[in-house]
Formats: sequence, structure tokens, C-alpha cells
Amino acid sequence: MTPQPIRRLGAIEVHGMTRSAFLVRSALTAGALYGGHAVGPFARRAFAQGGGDAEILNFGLMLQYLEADFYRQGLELGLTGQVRTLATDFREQEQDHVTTLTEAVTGAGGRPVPKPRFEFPIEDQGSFVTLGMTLEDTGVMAFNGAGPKLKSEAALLGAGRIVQVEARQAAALRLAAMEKPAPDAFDETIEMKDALAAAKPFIEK
Amino acid sequence: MSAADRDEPTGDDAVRAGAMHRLLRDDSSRKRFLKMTGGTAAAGAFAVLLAACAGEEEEATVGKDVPPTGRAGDFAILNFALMLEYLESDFYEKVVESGMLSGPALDMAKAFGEHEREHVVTLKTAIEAGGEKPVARPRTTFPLDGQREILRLAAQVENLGAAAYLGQATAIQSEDVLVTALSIHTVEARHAAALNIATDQEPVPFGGAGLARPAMMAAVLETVKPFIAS
Repeated sequence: MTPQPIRRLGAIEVHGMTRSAFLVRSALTAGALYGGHAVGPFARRAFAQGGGDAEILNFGLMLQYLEADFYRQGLELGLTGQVRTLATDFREQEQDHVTTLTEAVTGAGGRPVPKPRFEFPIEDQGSFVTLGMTLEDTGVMAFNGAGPKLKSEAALLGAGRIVQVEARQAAALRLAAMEKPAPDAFDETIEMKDALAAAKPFIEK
Repeated sequence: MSAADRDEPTGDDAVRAGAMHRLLRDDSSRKRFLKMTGGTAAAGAFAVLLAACAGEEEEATVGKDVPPTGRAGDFAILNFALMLEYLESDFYEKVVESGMLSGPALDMAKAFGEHEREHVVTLKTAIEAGGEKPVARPRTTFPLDGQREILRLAAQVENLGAAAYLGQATAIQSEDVLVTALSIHTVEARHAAALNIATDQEPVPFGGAGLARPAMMAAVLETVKPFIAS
């Protein structure tokens, strides 16, 4: 049984859908269909770094690597206007998250996971915005799902400070995609394994 | 001055009946919330709060000098959150009624107002399910002065709300209460970002940094004081 939020990832309505937007949807849906089984070697490595808070923080670190790299690659596409401004600011913010989580993993006695190489099916501003929105929405659900499992108060506060920024980024990108910034009264949560499965199609072998 | 002082019997049957009515009417949205947070969390805030209520008598209040901890602390936080959601919900209701908004701004106020109403119902239900007393709905007053000013005020209120939830995160003891609070926290953040954009401010207004700033309970209560009608 596919969890509800994951199914929603594959069901996002796209205005004037481009081929790459379609690919994005397919990739996310595929990740969802395979569920836990689609989690590759990288994801397992993320889980093998010590357990407890370090494991959760490493999971967060992996997502932030992914997002930071997404904005970096997006900016190489030659984004323009407001979207370019958002991408530039968000890239910096994700880099902040990477730094914060790297320190937090070490602080929790773990070893930070190495940064993987990512590849995103984006080819223009439209596909960038659509995928960005989906990635940030997923980041929110993943942090909201994993955060409450943290034992350390400092780690929880750090995760909270990060997830609020993720939610703001998601809302801004949703507006850029002509979507509702806050689609529901409550943000859903997803399990770490489901978030990793959704991220897997973007990790290069 | 604490919000607890305001919790005197506004006793107001009409308000109470109205709240009851909303509670009944909005039952479906509460169920949707439970379903949405998924199996584990669905046992969620409510079941755990029910189980936790065995034989303890602490009264959950908002804004005590020394914050309570443990279970009493969680209920104090839920009541603090409920008070903020009452404020926000009232705010949007009055904004929509004012007729000062139009177009996308009006649509946004209606949508966000509906979210705040759902937050109110969820928090109130959770507090009652735990056998505790929800704070009374405060009487509110907001300076509504045209679309531009209203949107700026809305942005201010939502940014404060997001900071307030973040400020409580580490004080919450129950994992299920925390799940609920975080799930509301990020929706407040989405509202804040959208309203920041609508008022030509940064969606992520932390001086270029990627970390949101929490606000503590006392500071939040002080900030919202002008919006509470005495």
C-alpha cells in the first residue's frame, strides 16, 4: 500500500506540462511504487552511520545536498527574473542547511555522509519550478516526519529551523508555478525510507 | 499580563455554542487530519492525550511565569497555540467581512482563514480529549486599513505564528503533540512566505540565512496584546 503523501507526489497537476515535467512525475511515481525496495546503496549508507540522532541528521543532510545541488544546476539553465532570484537565495539557504546538519551529525557522534552526485530532469524554467516545488514539499514532509524522532533538543531545534525555511521555499515555488502556496491546513509527514525512495531517481549511479 | 487572565468567564453561551457547532461541523476535517498523518501518528495526538490524562490534575494555562513541564507543559503549549489560532482565525474572518480585499488577496485570506479554523478545531479537540480546559476564544481587534495594510498585518501575524510554533518545539514532551505542532508550524510558514511575497518582502526573511528564528512564548503574547480587545 503506497502511503498517501507519496501518491500525491505523482499526482501533482502541472500547468502546460513539459516533457521533463512528465519525466519528473514519472520518476517520483516510480520511486513511490517501489517503496522501500527502491532505496539504493547510497540510502543504505546514509542509514549505516551510527543510528539514532546521527542517522536522522544524516538523512536530513542527504536531502539538503540534493536541494543545494538542484538549485546549483537550475541556475546553470539560465533562469530569469523572480525565479532566478529565488534560486540564488535558496541555494545559499540550502548550503546553510548542509553546514548546519554536517556539524550536527558530527556533534551527535556520527560521520557525515559524503555528498552524492545528482542528476535532475530539468531543462527550462518551467520544469525547474515544477520539480523544485515537489522537492521542497517532500523535504517538508520528510523533516516533519523525522524531526519528532530526534532525541537531542539542539538537533530538534536545528531541524525545526530548517524545516520552516523549506516550507517557505515550497510556498514561494508553488506561487511561481501558479499553485496554492499552502494546499492544506496540515502538512503531511512521510517516513525516511519513502523520502529516500523519492530522492533515489536523482542520485547518479 | 498573561492570557490566563483573559480566560475569565467570557462565559458567553453564544461563543461556546458557536464553537461546539464548528466542532461538530468540522468533524470531517479532523478525521481527514487523522487519516492524513498516517497509521502511527493517527493514534496520534488524540489517543495519546487520552491515555495520558489518568489522574493528573495540573491545570494547563498559558503564559505562567514559570513554564510547566511534562504533560502540563504540553497542554499549556497546546493552549498557547489555540490562542494564537483563535487570533488568526478571527483575523481572517474580519478581513474577509471587511470587504477591503479583492481578487487573489481575497482568495488567499479565505483559504488561510479556513486553515486556521481547522487548526483551532484540532487543537481544541486535542485539549478536550486530554480532559483539560481549552482557553476561551479571545475577543479580538485588528486595525484594518485597506488591502495593502491588511496584507502587511497578515504577514506580520503569520511570521509571528511560525516563530511561535518553532519556539515551542523543543519544550513539547509528547512525540504525537510534536508531530501535530510541526505539521501546523510549516503551514504557518507557508502562509507567511506567501504573504511576504504579496507585500514585496523576502519569503525567507532571515537576512540571507537559511535558519528560521524562534520566538518565545512571553514575547509572542506581548506582541499580540494589541489585538486582544479588553
